[in-house]
Amino acid sequence: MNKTGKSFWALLADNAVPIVFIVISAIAIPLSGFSASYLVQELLVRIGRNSFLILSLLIPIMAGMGLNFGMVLGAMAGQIGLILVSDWSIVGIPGMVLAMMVGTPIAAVLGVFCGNVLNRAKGQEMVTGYILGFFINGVYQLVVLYLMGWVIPITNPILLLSRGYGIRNAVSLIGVRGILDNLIPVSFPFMGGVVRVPLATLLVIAAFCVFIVWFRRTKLGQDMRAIGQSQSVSDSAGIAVNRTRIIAIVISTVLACYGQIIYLQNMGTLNTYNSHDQAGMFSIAALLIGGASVSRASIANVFVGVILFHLMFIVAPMAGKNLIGQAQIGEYFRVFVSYGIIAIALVLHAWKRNRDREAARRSLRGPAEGAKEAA
Amino acid sequence: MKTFMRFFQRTVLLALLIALGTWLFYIGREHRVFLDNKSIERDGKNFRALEQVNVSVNGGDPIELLARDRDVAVTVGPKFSIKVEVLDSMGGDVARTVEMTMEPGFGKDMMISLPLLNAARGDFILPPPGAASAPETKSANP
Amino acid sequence: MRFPLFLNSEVILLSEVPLLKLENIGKEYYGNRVLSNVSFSLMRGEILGLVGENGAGKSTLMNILFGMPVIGATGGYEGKVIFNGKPVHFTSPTQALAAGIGMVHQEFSLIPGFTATENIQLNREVLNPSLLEYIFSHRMSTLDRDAMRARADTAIRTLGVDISPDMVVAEMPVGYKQFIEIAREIDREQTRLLFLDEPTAVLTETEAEILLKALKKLAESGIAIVFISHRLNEVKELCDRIVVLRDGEVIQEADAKTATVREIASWMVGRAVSEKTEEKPQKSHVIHDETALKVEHLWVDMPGETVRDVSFEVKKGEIFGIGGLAGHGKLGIPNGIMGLSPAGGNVELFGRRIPLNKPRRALDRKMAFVSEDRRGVGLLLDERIDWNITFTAMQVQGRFLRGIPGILQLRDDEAMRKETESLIKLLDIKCTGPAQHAGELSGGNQQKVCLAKAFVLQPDLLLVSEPTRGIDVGAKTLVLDALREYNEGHGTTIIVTSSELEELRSVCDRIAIVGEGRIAGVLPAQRPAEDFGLLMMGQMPHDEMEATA
Repeated sequence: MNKTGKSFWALLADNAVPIVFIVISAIAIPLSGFSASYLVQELLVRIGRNSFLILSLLIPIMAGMGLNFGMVLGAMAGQIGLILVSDWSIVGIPGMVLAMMVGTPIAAVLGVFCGNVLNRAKGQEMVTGYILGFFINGVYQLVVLYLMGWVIPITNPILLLSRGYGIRNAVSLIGVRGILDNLIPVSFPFMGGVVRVPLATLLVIAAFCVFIVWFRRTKLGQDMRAIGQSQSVSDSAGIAVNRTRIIAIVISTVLACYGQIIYLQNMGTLNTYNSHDQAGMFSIAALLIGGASVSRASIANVFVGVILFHLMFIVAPMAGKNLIGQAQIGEYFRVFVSYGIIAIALVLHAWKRNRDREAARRSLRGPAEGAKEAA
Repeated sequence: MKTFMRFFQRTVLLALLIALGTWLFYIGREHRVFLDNKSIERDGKNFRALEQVNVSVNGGDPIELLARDRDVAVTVGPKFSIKVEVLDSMGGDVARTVEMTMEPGFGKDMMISLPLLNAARGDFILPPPGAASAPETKSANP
Repeated sequence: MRFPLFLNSEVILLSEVPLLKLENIGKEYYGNRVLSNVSFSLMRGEILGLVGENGAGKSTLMNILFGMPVIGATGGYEGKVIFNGKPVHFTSPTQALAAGIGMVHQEFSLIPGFTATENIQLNREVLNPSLLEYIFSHRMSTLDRDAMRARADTAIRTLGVDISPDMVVAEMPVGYKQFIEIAREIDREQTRLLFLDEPTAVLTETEAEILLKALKKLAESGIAIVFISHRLNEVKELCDRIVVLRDGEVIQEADAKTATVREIASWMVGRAVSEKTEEKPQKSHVIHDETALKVEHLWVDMPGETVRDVSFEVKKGEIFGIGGLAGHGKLGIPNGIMGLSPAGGNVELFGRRIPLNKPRRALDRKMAFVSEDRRGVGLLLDERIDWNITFTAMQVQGRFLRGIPGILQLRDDEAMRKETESLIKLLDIKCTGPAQHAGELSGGNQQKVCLAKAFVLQPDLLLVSEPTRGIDVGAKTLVLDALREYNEGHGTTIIVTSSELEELRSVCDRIAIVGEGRIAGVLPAQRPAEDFGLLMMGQMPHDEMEATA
């Protein structure tokens, strides 16, 4: 690998994934027939809706724990918070903030649990987190389907199933709907249409970005960066490796809780048993599309990823419909691309790690056959 | 000493958070105020439903209730103001106006019996009706 | 034991307390004694060279002094360690670090993606004071990067090298990494004693010189240094005193300036003169002129035993020895030739090129290998002895099978049993019979089974690694005799790799010494032991010797 500068092709190979997406989008946008203002509007909404969740993935990557598939635990905690707040009829910003406050201890406990499990599965954090998500999903359903309305008092009949306990499939979040997005109403005309900007949400996201930048500069952030590169060296330097890893997961889970609440306040409806399912998958896919890898991710990756991923989401159905009469192609892309991109990233990561190890060993080798080296 | 300080500070922080949560609960609570214009009996006396009454909650558009009507207004927050204009007959003039501020506070829903209110009785606040769906009307939210 | 009266030409009062004093340190690992009666002391600002072959006990001694948990977990140690006048007993490296002992290991303990500054200050970073510190913990404070940089710069400057504190470690040449490791230790304010384990092994000559200068400067500032190295010229140049360890004991303590290189080498490898050195003079085997094995510029990527550039020739019928210090590559050579580790270069057997990285092809060409890892590579522990012995021959040469080749063949159990029984007799393998499971045998007998397996193949070239490792004395002689007899009886060329120089000298015709991945020299086995010792230290014995290929 040339130290002085990367060739054009190396640069292309490193950023292959975002480039492919740009190309797909470039083809699909004109085919979809959407206006520029519509696209910009949709993108802004989706950035506001999804960025927080994706940003919550950055810290575990920094700590060397890979893609946090366990973020779905935080999503579930947030949903429990929203259910309770709906039951209590707390609306508006206080409702959203209260949901976050209620969800935080739940997310923290789940995060500690998740972190402990991942510590026992070093080297296999991602698949363990993935399976852990399923397990906690079961616990969540136990709580929401059986305990709520029975052991956990739920008084609002709108939430409950007809049998008297258990939460309904769909919970209307009318009380908090759009509350953050529309807090600071800003809109501007753009190319023939009017674009409404969810300014408050974007400000919250910006604050989160500032938090991440600050966090990287703290000692805790430095410790995580060290652990992410070499657990053994960090351990022998006296850094509490296991504890720090748990902290990374807890932070990520709590932030995922907030991110899911922001996501749901934009959606307006909570699908009690489904909303959190794809939270992890889509966020991770978006991050990877933005050019991140299992071991390195930056804030830029988050935003590039959310734009490219959702651009494709927006235009693919219409483009598909106009091109081949099948709007379902959008949904197909959504699932196929998400799983596909994660698979590619994992394979690339393993391949690159082997290649790096190989290169490190190669530096120790003697001269090639036939050549004589000066002693 | 240092660990005690830390423990103390963390306890204070926790207390502040709980206080914040409680305050949010207090100011964010949504209340459904049911306006009941039905005849009701109290102390053996029968208070008749009013012919027409216009109720304006928190300065919003007045809700018109004819006899035996029941309607609901939704408010957010611990306090709300209510202005009741009782008309002497359907479409007639305002016979009586009652303005007051009510404070459900941590409570949830309530029902106001307008005939009782009109009679200046103190017990015009009734428990809200049972589980059934209440008709959604124009909300009086600011 | 003499305390030096002069230190860097200053007169020191005798009443000065030594910084480190070892009294009768001993250690045994489950019955295997590794250190006995080690005593020496070290003054402030003194540089002590600790010299010895691997297996002499240097690493164990360092582990004890640095408080490594493996020592406590295997029964602790005997003797007393007195540091700064007070007896100490470290049970973890953190304790040793806190007391002021720093250690620079051979394997770098650096975070590759961090800068020099970040590595030097790892987990001891300078922090900006902040409010959050009070509520949460000091880990919530941001790093004061300017202060960190300044401190790192000071540490680097103390060593007298010119490395930018902002350079990322992964991009540094190997030599610089070594300096950063040392800088990290001296950045700790309390460091008084520094252990350096083979610090120059990975350095170029110029870098090594800079390092030695830096270490001298460090010693002048009052830090005592224990310098472990096999490069005798460096040891002599840098150290004030030398302590020679052999077989777990202090053989000699000497002044570095007055002891000669030859003396040091002989202390390191020489055994008691009364031991047999010329015991087996008559070798009735024939050494032909024909070259059996020719190795040219072999490199082998075997982690821990890297071979960089090795060339040598072995004559047909010869017993050729390969020796050298552990980790320098001697074990990598046979593993590379037999295709067990990634390798490159040119290897020719009887004039024909052997493909590397393909063990099957090596076996097809009638080379056999008895690996040093007999439990991992040599044996199928859950299988019977007769299976183990005949399996390779069955797979590679199609023997011990009945039936029609290519269509249907079955095991010939009878033939397997007979062959096994004859080999059990030949090698005196202590077992209940050919049916016993290999895992139940003792280490020595397992080794004999591995040898038997190689014999069955009737190879033209036999490579044997560490033939008598872990075997008791009586069995050792038997194994070596078996090798010799096989060579005499069948004319098989044998290449023996061993870390025991005496063993090689007793059975081989010529011995090559491997140093730092290359051949340091090839000498006839009758040469005195210290000649080989010198080769291991990177010195040339004065007499003429064979030129390396």
